Amino acid sequence: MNTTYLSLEIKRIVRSPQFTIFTIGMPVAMFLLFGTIFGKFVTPSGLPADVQTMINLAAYGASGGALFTGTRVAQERTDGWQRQLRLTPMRGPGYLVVKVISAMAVALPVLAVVFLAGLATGVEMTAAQWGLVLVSLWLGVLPFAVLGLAIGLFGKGDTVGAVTGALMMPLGMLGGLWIPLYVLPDWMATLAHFFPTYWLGRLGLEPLAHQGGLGLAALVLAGWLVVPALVVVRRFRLDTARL
Amino acid sequence: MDGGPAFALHGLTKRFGPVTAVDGVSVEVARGEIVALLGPNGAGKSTTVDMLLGLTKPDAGTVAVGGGSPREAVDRGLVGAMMQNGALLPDVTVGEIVELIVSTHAKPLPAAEVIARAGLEHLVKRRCGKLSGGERQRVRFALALAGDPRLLVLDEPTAAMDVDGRRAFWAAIREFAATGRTVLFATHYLAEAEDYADRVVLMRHGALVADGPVAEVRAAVSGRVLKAAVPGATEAELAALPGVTTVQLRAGRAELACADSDAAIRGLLAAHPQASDIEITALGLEEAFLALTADETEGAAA
Repeated sequence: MNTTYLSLEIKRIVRSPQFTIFTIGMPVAMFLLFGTIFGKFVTPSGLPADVQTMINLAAYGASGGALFTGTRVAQERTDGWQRQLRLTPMRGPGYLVVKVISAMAVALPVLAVVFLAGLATGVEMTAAQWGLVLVSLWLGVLPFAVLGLAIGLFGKGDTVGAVTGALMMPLGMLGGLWIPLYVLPDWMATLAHFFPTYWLGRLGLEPLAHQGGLGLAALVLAGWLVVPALVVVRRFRLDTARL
Repeated sequence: MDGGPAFALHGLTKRFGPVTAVDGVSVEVARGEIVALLGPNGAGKSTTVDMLLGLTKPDAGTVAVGGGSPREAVDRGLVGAMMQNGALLPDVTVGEIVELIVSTHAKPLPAAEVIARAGLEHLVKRRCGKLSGGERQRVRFALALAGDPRLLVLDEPTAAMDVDGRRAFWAAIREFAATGRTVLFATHYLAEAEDYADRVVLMRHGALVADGPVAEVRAAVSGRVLKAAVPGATEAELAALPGVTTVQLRAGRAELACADSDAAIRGLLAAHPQASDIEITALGLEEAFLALTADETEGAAA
């Protein structure tokens, strides 16, 4: 893999205003708001509400950031950057891998900042739990990076930005990451199962509340990884053939 | 790229729907040549360049670059290209984008040398989105140099440059070519082809109309024009006269473009003694170029 390209991609993401304001700022602000509202109230799963809120909003921020990879890819498609890269020995897969890994790389600081906000406001977990939640959420972001890429290969820069922004609302809200599902009606809790964000939240909670759902959450997220990945491979081939 | 031609196109053809953008073009360029691909807008220059680089698949014909396919040539860093409106990353600095493209090549030029050759030292920290049109062209030139290519392909390279920028740009190209490399540049500026190319390949409506050293193409295209009133003559009769290349006939007045106007006038007077009001004028290269490449039919694709 081209590490020069990877580090440049990471730099580009981190220095964009979009990253600071939306990808990091939004989930932190929402955590500070909701975390304070729900406080140490014990949820039906037996966990303090602030722990669950922190994990959910870390999941929201990281998955949203990863999904926004697609916007950059779409903009580069519109500008003809992939065409420029075809004049270099770099191949399509090299480009796609850099996009996915850079999305994964910037998910880490998003998780870290939300966790720091949690620490600062008194969220309590054992050291092992902090570590496990971080790793689970981080790995669980992979399907979102690939999904973002799949969306990005279908539209123009502006459109994809708007579509991704619009998607984040239902993904956060209906996936149960914004407002805990136990305060919502049953039908909404059922509906949540159809959103990958719900399963990311489950994956993040698994190290704390052993609901026996680790395998299931991982399996569903794997599905959300494989389908977009197939779309990306197919679409990128067609795209390249047509350029 | 040892021994063989820098690149060879044979019977290259590309259609876009009903339009034939490139029509059976065959060109072979030896190593070290500086070749101008000359023609008006819409002559098929860019499409030809795209096929040479492997960006567009030809409908018919073959492309060999350094003995292999265009993609192999790109992979081996044999060919570098500067595309018209080639994309840059607006949020990335000049230094970063040069380093990025350098990093994709197996045997690149050092980034510092690329920057120096393209005259970008003072712009290294500027973001690409803040560059002027001419500066962007120089960055595209830098990216083309990154792989230390044997063949440099430039599509309308000086389009956005001012006079000084052009002069500096061509000085940099000459310096690069002096090391035995091959340069192909597409242009619609006749003067640029005359000043900087060893050889001119002239395209019109997707087809090759002249190919040779600048002086030879000049001789071929800059014939004379014979004008005369020839009542009763048909176009076919006039076209059959010796030395005549093209015929325009309007209201009994003929305009004959001639490769050999002496033969043409003798033939004309022998076949049509009634011809009157005869004049023969020499065409300058500029006029000859315009005459040869003038867009008579609509709809030729770029």
